[in-house]
Amino acid sequence: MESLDSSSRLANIIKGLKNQKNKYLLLKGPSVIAIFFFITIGLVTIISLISSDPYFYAFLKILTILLLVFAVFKLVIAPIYRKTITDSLLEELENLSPGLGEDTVNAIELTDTLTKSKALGTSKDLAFAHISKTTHKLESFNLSSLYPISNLRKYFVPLAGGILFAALAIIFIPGSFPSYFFSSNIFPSTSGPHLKLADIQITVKYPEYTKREPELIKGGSGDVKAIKGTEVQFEAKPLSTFKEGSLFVKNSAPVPIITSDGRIKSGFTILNDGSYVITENSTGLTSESFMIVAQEDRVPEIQISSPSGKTVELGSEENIEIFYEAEDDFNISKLTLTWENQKTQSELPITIKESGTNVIKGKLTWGPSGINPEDGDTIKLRVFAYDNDTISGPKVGVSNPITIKLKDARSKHKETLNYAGQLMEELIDILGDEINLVYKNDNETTQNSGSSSRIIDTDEILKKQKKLTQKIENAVSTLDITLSSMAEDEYSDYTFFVGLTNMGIRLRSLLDERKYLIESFTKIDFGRLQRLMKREIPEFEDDILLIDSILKGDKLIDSLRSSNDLLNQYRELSELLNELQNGDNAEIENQIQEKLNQIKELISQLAKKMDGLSGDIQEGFLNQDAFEALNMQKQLDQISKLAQEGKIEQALDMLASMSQSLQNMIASLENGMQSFGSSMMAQEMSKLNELVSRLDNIEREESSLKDNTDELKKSLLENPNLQGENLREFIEKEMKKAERLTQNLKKARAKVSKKSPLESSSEGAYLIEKMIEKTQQLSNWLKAMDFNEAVKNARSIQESTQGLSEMSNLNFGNLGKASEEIDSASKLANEIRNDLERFGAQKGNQGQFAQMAERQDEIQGQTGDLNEELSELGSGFFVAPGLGEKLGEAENFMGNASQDLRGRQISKAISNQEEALKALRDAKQQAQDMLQQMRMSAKGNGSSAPMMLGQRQSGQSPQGTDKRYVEIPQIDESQVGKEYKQRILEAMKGGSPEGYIELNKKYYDRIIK
Amino acid sequence: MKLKSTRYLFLTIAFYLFTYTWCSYSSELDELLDNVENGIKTWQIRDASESIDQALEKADTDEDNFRSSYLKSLVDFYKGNYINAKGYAEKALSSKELGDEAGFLNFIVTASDSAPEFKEIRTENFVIRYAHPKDVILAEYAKDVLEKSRFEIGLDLEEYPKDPVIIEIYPDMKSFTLASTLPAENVEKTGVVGICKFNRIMILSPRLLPKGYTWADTLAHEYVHYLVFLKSDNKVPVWLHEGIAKYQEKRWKEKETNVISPFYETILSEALEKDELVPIEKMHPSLAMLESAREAQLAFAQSGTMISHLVDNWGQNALIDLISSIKETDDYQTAIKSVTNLDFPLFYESWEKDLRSKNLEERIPGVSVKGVRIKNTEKKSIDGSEDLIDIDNNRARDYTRLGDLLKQRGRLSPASYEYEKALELDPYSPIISSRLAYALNIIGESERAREVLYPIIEFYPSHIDIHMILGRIYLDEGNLSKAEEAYLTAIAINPYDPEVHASLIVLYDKQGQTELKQREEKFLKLLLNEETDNGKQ
Repeated sequence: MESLDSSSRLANIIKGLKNQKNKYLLLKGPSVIAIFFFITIGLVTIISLISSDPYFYAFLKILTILLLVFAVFKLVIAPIYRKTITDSLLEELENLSPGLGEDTVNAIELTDTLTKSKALGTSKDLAFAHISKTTHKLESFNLSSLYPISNLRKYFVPLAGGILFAALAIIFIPGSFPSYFFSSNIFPSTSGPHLKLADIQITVKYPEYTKREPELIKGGSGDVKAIKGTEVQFEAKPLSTFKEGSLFVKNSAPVPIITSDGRIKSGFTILNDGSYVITENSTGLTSESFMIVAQEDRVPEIQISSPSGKTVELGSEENIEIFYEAEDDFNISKLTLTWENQKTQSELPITIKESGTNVIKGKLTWGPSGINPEDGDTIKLRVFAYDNDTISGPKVGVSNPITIKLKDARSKHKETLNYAGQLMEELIDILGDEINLVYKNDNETTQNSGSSSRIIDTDEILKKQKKLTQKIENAVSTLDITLSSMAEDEYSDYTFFVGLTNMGIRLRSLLDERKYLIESFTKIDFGRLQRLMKREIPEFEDDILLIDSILKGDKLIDSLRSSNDLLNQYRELSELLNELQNGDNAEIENQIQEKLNQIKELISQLAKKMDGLSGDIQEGFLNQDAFEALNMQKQLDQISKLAQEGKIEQALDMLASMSQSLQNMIASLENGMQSFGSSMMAQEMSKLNELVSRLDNIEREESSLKDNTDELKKSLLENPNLQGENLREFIEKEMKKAERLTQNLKKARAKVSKKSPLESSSEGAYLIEKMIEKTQQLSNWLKAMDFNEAVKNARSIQESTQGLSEMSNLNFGNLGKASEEIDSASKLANEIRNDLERFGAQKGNQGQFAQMAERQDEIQGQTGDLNEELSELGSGFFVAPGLGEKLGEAENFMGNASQDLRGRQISKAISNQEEALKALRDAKQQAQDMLQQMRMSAKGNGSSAPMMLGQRQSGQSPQGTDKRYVEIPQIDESQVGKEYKQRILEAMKGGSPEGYIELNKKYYDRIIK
Repeated sequence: MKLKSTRYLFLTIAFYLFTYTWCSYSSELDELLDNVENGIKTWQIRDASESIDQALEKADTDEDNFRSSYLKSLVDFYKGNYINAKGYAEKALSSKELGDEAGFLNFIVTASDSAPEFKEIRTENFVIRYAHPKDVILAEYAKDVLEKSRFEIGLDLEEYPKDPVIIEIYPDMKSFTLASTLPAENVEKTGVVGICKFNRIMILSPRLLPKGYTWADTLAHEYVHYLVFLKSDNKVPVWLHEGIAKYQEKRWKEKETNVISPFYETILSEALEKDELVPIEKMHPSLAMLESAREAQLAFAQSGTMISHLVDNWGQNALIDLISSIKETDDYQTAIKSVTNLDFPLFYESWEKDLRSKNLEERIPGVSVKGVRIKNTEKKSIDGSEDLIDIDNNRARDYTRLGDLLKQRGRLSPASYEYEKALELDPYSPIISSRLAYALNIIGESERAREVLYPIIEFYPSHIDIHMILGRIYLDEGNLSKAEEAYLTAIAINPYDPEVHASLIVLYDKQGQTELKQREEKFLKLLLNEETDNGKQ
């Protein structure tokens, strides 16, 4: 058993030794090869200097590779495989211990014989004994020392030396061999002898519009990739002599090269993809070709994110908010909104708030009111984004389109007018009934007055009155429907809307009274009923007249619109005739005929509308010109004939004459419209204009005065006084004194407060505490530059501290303990008082203060006059009471400022002046808002003009005088049409039901006068 | 030698004969042309026409041809023969001899081109031309007015034209202003709707005024001008012309003349009180050229009362003598002196004193004198509110409008209530009064209606609605003669209202006047667009 074990152990030892040897050889070989490699590289690099011939380079490269392959074979593979492991191993064992190698060989052979049952020349035991002995012997030695890895350290130094040698050769020896050697090319380029360049530096200067900083690229290959328009500065070190040369960009003129300090410099601008080379003129050497990659500027991306739907329905007076997002690789220079309908196309610039940005998110409000669209028109909106590319021109990005479908506002308006017409019919019926009832009853009363037995048929009266009440209720319902329809109606005028809303409030009030009377009706109430009806009659009369005005005015506006439509058609016909004049074209002739037919139809419609106009609208507007339209049909026939005969000039002359006639008519209608609806408004606007102008003047004067006051303050702060110190320094000095005074007092308080059980110190401490408070107040007055108060305060402190000092002498309230501090405080207080009084006595600026105060009084007077005039205008003037209040505020602030100036309280004066200015600006803004609304209304077409909105309601109502103010919301730009009207409606409903008669009288004056 | 002498003698005689013949021929032509010019100047157009025809035959030089063509054009224009006038005018215009005459020749061409396509109705002494189909009604009624005028005024002035007088009724403002040479603004400002010029009388159709105008008086007025023109050889100054015309204009229908109507009394009293009479010198060249309608009316009142003063104090013959004397002296002041034995300033003074002695009063408080508002359409507004603008008081206008709205809906009683309120605010308004009277009459309060109308009719005799309503009241009452008088007065203002003719049909039917009834039926059909004067439309 032991023999078998020894054989096995011997085999393991031999196997371990073999593995160890292989490991050693595998480490040793590469080390030697690396040394060989680096030395070879160094050497061939040096040898490559002999010639730059590519074949020589190729030879050197191949030779080097072959040498390396040989070395690998020789130093790594061969040692492992050429000698048997055993031989080598036995040699090593023999070297370790003489005879051990032989013993080991014998033991191996004996083991092999025994294992394979071969004939053994000796006994098995002896064989086993030898094997065992040899195994024990081998185990007794440290076999790991046979192949020591540490022996490899000896290669480190040669390896490092080789690396260093190779590196030095590659870096310091000029030539392109190393790069070629390490490239995969078998042969270097055969295109000719190359200009060798090293240390290539490229500076790229991007186009101005990109706003990018220039970049320096070092150690690059020379290839360039940048946006078109980029300027490239090329710089390199030539590896051979470079006298003069050029930089050649493919398909461009050569650029001369500047040589300086052994470096060459040149440049070019990237315009397209391509390549460039450097050429040395004297040697004809050309560098390798460098790539140019020209990048394109991106087209901006723009998108309308809201409204999200493709089609939006919009009223012609409504607005939509458009949200957009634009992005560009560099900068967005311009954004525009374009709209187009079937007839025309137009563009509006969009203001970009942040300039120099490549991402813009914004919104804009757009409405079709400015483009005179037709009802039912379809308008396509797009946002265009332009970038700032100045090289190849701005790129334009186009957003997704939004389609605006205009509501058919005219039919809605017609519906509103129908309701208004129905309402008028109902009111006329009611008025007729009321008059009949009142006068029939009056007659009966008269007839029966002499009768002793006066009989009133109560049932009959009640029956009639209930019927009448029902009619009034119906009329109120119709009025509500009319108002609802008006709220949706873009063409209705806000003034009328408000007028009708007021009417509703009044009618409801009368209706309530009427219902109450009828429900509790007795014979005694007959008189009350009569009186109520006598109040109702003028109410209905006014209501009917208002609606009559609405309907008539609308006819006038309608005629005006149709006239303008007709005028547009004339223009289009004129253009067609001009086109025809420039060339015979059957298509144009057809278009002319079609246009003539359209015009005839329009004339016919207009004639009907003109017929519907009543003569009592306004004297003078229905003049003969207005009816020239009736003769236009004949003239159109004549134009058609002339066009067919080719007499275009004559046709155009005739059309021009017709157009002039129509324009006269439009002017005439507009005059009528102005006189009809706006004569009063024009007066109001004129008054408002004057008011705004006067407010503007007052504001300017106050602002100027405030600037002067500021200047005075600055001058006082900065300019030296008689003592050579300026105000700022003076204040600071006094404040320090005040601080010291405070400290003294605090010390005094601390001492006084330390009381013994027998002492009572509360009074003394209290007095000192009061002094401290006063001193702190003094600091505040000084800080606020209120010298009047400061002087008063300083006097008080001085007197009080004087008192304290006297009391300390008497040791009142334990003050004697702090007599030193109190005396010191007293002196300081005296000093401060003297300083301030002396400052106050300086007359240098006194006159200036007085002058400014006088000026302030003048401005206050002007403001007061204006406010007084406003209040005299009272309810007859359409301004909000807020305006008067604001003027009152301004007046008060000015008064305060004047007093402050007189008291030399300059900071306070400035503060009051600022407040006055603020109030004035608010007042002016209110007046301007109102003026703007009136201007809009004066244009007609339902523009908003809540003329009495904000008016003080001071009309004498049947129940008494109502002075309450119904707050009507002002027009907000973002709120139009329905929403605005709804607000008015709500405001009116929440307001006063009385005191509106005067309000409506204003309407009538304005509308009917 | 003898032969030679004989030849010389023969040649001398021949030269003499030729020169004599040529000179006599030339002087004859000149004489003819002078006759023509004189004839045109004095409106002796028949004589001028004969002379120019002879002259045309004799003219053979360029100068003579031009002069003859020019005068022939004028004669034809004065005869109202526009086509011929235009032809000769164009011939004259093509002449090299063209001088100052070019202006008038061009006017003849333009006026002839723009002249409406007139149709004619003839009477023994008048040729009445009209262009608009409906104006035939006016022409028919005008026959009677004109013949009466010829008789009555001719008697007063002892003047009767030999040839038929041409009357032209213009269908629109444009053609009227062009033919009359009156600027449109003058027509509208001073209210001149008729003119006697170029040997004819031209008037604007009453269709063009919302409520018509007193066209019959206007025709008579212009006819007076025609007679005065003929009688004085166009030497009577304008102011006197107008005075005589004003004094005589109602003579066709009234025996006694009273120039001072309440309206004239009102404006005269005011002018006398304020010492604002229109100076005689300011009345040149035409009253139509005065600054305002009020001033023009004052001038009419002044000149009319001056003639009245003359006739009242020196008799009707004084007027005839005055015209004859002016014809002879060509100086109205001399003529006045010769007729009255007073220097003109004294005559003027006596007139003013006489006027002041009448204690004229402001009969119509707040009367406003307006120009002419022309309409180019005959259509009335649907709601009949076209005349509301003439109510100056805003509130009164509002109540009237309310009354109209109620009336249209058949609520006449409430309507009358509103009209009453309006009348309280504007008590002299014929517009409100007539509306109120209409409503009252319909609801059976005709007595009250008459109370409303009677004071007004004196103030506003030419307000058609007053006569229409009175006609209706009288017709309802069965007072046919009064009704006929009212309706005929209405026709003398506006013959285009179908209601008048409808009422007259009823009236004539009741009176059994078939012929008149048929005439009214014809006019009614025409107005209702069923039939034109020439047949179906």
